[in-house]
Parts: sequence; C-alpha cells; structure tokens
Amino acid sequence: MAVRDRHRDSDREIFVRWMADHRGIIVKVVRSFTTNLADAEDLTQEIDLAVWRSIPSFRGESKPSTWIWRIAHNRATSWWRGAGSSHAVLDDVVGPSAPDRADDGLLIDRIYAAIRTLPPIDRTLVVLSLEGYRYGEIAEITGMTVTNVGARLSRARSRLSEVLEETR
Amino acid sequence: MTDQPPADEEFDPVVAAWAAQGVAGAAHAQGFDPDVLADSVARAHRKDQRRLLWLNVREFVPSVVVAGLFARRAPNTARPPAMLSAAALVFGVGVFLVVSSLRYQRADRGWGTSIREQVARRLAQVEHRAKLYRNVGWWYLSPIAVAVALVRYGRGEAALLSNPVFFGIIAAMGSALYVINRRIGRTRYESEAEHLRTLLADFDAGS
Repeated sequence: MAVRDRHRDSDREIFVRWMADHRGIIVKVVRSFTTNLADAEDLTQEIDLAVWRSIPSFRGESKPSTWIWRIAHNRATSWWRGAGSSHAVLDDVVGPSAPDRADDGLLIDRIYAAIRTLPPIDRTLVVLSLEGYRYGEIAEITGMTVTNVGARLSRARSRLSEVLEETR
Repeated sequence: MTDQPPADEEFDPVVAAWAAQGVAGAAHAQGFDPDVLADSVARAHRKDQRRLLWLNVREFVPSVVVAGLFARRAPNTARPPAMLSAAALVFGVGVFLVVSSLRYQRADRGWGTSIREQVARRLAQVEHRAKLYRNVGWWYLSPIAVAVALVRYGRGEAALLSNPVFFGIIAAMGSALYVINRRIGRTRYESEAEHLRTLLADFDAGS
C-alpha cells in the first residue's frame, strides 16, 4: 500500500531554502542542549524531521526563522532520552569540571557550556534573548507571560554570568 | 518592564561572542548540503509513515480476521449470540487499539502553537499511553478472556474453569502480557510523563 505523503515539491523547496538560510538555528539549539556527538546527532535528526513535517502547517504568519526557533526549542526542551539518560544526568556532566569545558579559552564554547547548566526552559529563554528576540516575542514562542519571561531571564542571565565567571 | 533585557556591561562580551559565532557559515564550510539533507529527511519521514502504517495494520488486521472467523462460524454453533458477542469484543479491541494509536500520533501536530502548549499536548498523549499500558488488564486482556469464554460457551464446550490445563495456559499468557505491558508503561511512558510534568510546572512557575 502506498504511503500518503502530504509533502509537495514546493514543500521540499521550502525545506531546502530554510536549511540553507537558517541551519544555524538548529546548530545553536542542539549545541545548547547536548554534550556529546551521539546526542547531538539524535536531536539534530529529530529537529530536522520536525521542521520537515511542520512545513504543510506553515501559513507564513510568522517569519520562517521564528517558526524554526519554535520547533527546534520545542523538540530540544521536551527531548526525552528515556529512563537512565535523562536531562538531569546530562546536566550533571556539564559543570566546571566537565570534559567539554573550553580549556582553549574560546568564549563561545564557555557560553554554550554555561547555557547547558541551566534548566531546559531557561536555556530556551537565554538563547532566544541572545538572538535578539524581545520579551513579547519570547513569551509568544514559549507560552509564558511577559512578566515571567523578564523575571526568569534576569535570573538565568545572572546564573550564566556566575558560571562564566567560575569557569574563566 | 521594558521589552528587552536591561543593558548589562558585564554581559556585553557574551552577546558579542554569540553574534559573532557564525554557525551557519561553519555548517556550510563542513560540507553541509540542504538538498542532501532534504532527501535524507524525506526518506526518514516516509520510513516513519510506513512504520506507523504497519503498526496500525498489525494491530487491526488480526482482530478483524479473528472477529470475522467467529462471526462466520456463529450460525453453525450451539449458541450463535455468544459467538457473535465474542466477535464484537475482539473487533472492539482492534478498533480501540487503532484509535488510540492514531490519537497518539496526532501529538506531533499543532506546530504553530507555543512550546508550553506543545509540551502540554505531548504530556496528555503520553499520559494517555501510560494509562493504556497501566490498564491493559481492563481494555485488552479482560475482553479477550471473555471472548475466549464466550467462544467455548457458544460452541457448547465445557466452561473455561472446568478445564485446568486450558485455563492455566490462558492465565499464564495473560499474566505475561500484563507484566510486560505494565513494565513498558512504567519505563517508557510514565517516566517521560514525569519529565514533561516537571517541565510544565517549570513553565508555570512564577506566572
């Protein structure tokens, strides 16, 4: 029996264009949520597939980049590896003594390592904020109130600064 | 409250480093080809669709075949209504399996909604799945056991309990299925539901 595939050729073109223009979004989200190559590949695949499946639902009401941020963060935030390899365990690995800590002094590597010490939702808030999204936009993407976004983001940024200071 | 984080000189280097990372360029430099990715994702999507179709067929076809067999033999048995009831029960279990499977697959839809809403939607689906596995005795094993008893009754055979060997085999198979399903529900779905509940509570904290 043939499997019905709602994706048309134009959807494929959209996917190719989005990936050409916005691949960095997925790379950034994956780097903010994973600490090893296997997890990074798994999550990347999951996000790629989610973006592909989402294209028929895209009505152009938001920018493609915002759409991809939303999907990538949704997948990353609720990413579940099953019992025994939860996010908590993953987070425990990432600390000042973690192997992937940037000993080469590259600030961006230290920033990613610091982001991974935050709870999943705070990672999303910090990354979107670093991308220049406003509180209102972040609130819309995440589904939180603007007040809550502001308060949490403030705490998350403080925590991020502390971790960066500790790992300097 | 302003709509942007307040200016923070200490944080400026972080913002600058983030803006300067050029991840998209790096991805292209590493030989990233969107066309190749599109082909690969399309293949993975089709494979997944086929897998889901197969899961539904695997769940539905046996129940239709068995129900059809019972219904077809009903007129030639001692008690046709009992056979027809058994057929209806088995068919009902198949329909229930497919409906719950389709409902679970719908969890991925609603792409345009907020992350919180998608987490809530996913939680509802995972909780439903966990509930199915937890209550497998009620909606799957009991109807099947009743159907077996009805078939024996319909064919004028001795009651299930009066045949210890047959009863033992049925009870052992049922127990094994019960234990396996409960374990799957606990390890695969209840732990994920717990993770999603924590996430949802974290979303709502402070709002």
